[in-house]
Amino acid sequence: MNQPQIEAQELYQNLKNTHIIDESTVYQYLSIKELKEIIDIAKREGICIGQKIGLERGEAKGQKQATEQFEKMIESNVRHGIEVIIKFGCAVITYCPAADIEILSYKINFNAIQNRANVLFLINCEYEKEFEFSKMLDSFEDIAAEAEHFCFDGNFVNVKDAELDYRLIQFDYPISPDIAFVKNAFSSK
Amino acid sequence: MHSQANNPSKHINQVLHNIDFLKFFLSSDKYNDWAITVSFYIAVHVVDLALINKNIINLTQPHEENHKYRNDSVKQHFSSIANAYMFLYRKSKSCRYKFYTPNQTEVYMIIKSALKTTLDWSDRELNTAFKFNM
Repeated sequence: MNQPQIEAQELYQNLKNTHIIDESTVYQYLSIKELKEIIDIAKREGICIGQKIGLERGEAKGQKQATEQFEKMIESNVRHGIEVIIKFGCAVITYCPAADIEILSYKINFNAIQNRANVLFLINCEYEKEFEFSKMLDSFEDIAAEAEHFCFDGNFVNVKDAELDYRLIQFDYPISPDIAFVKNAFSSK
Repeated sequence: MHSQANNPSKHINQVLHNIDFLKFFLSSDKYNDWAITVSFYIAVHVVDLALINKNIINLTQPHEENHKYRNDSVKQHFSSIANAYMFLYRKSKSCRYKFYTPNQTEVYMIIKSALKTTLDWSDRELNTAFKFNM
């Protein structure tokens, strides 16, 4: 082999170690200049790929850290949220005049990220008592917002003389804690 | 949608229009479920009118569509109608869970207490002339 052929062979060997060329490449038809350019491109590509891999590893690490932090935040918010929601229900049930208004169930839709919950009480009472119940919800909503930084959207449905769409209620308020549990949740504290 | 939201007369007209609508069907007892929703939307426009008149809020802000924001504003700024407004809000919201059953007592109680309170307050505080009498 003459000198240019030797040089071309060496260059080809280098190229074989890169990702952008393989045996099928028609290296023998390329000039030394072209092969050198290809090697330069390969090196630059290699650096880029290396950087990308590094970035991806960093991203993966970052994602893992973010996920862990997110999980911790969710867990903390869920704990706090459940406690506040139970407290809210407990307060309403405790202060509600049982002789006038019967609370049949307490239903919840809870957003742990935003510290907010939609709650629904199914009650049974005379229509005249509904306004008092609504006023009570107003008061407890304000207290929860001020004391717990928790946003309640309290609502009620009076079952008196009504046929309810329980499927829809279940869809809007999927969580239904046991009313006796809610009532007694804080009695031992 | 919000181009007229800051125009007080648009809210007054809407209140009057909704009151007319309410009167139109209420005597028949056939659409009592809708009476609750219409009553609430009368109150919504009264509150929006009040927010504009008192220069509390610019209703062109996107969050103005949010009932939560309006509820908070009522509680914060118009405490004398807050309970009535929230009652209408709750009754209107929970309507969807009830299959329709004719019930005149419930509807008349809502209209003659919560809605009347809201409209009387408007006439007093906002110098409107709804003179609600049903």
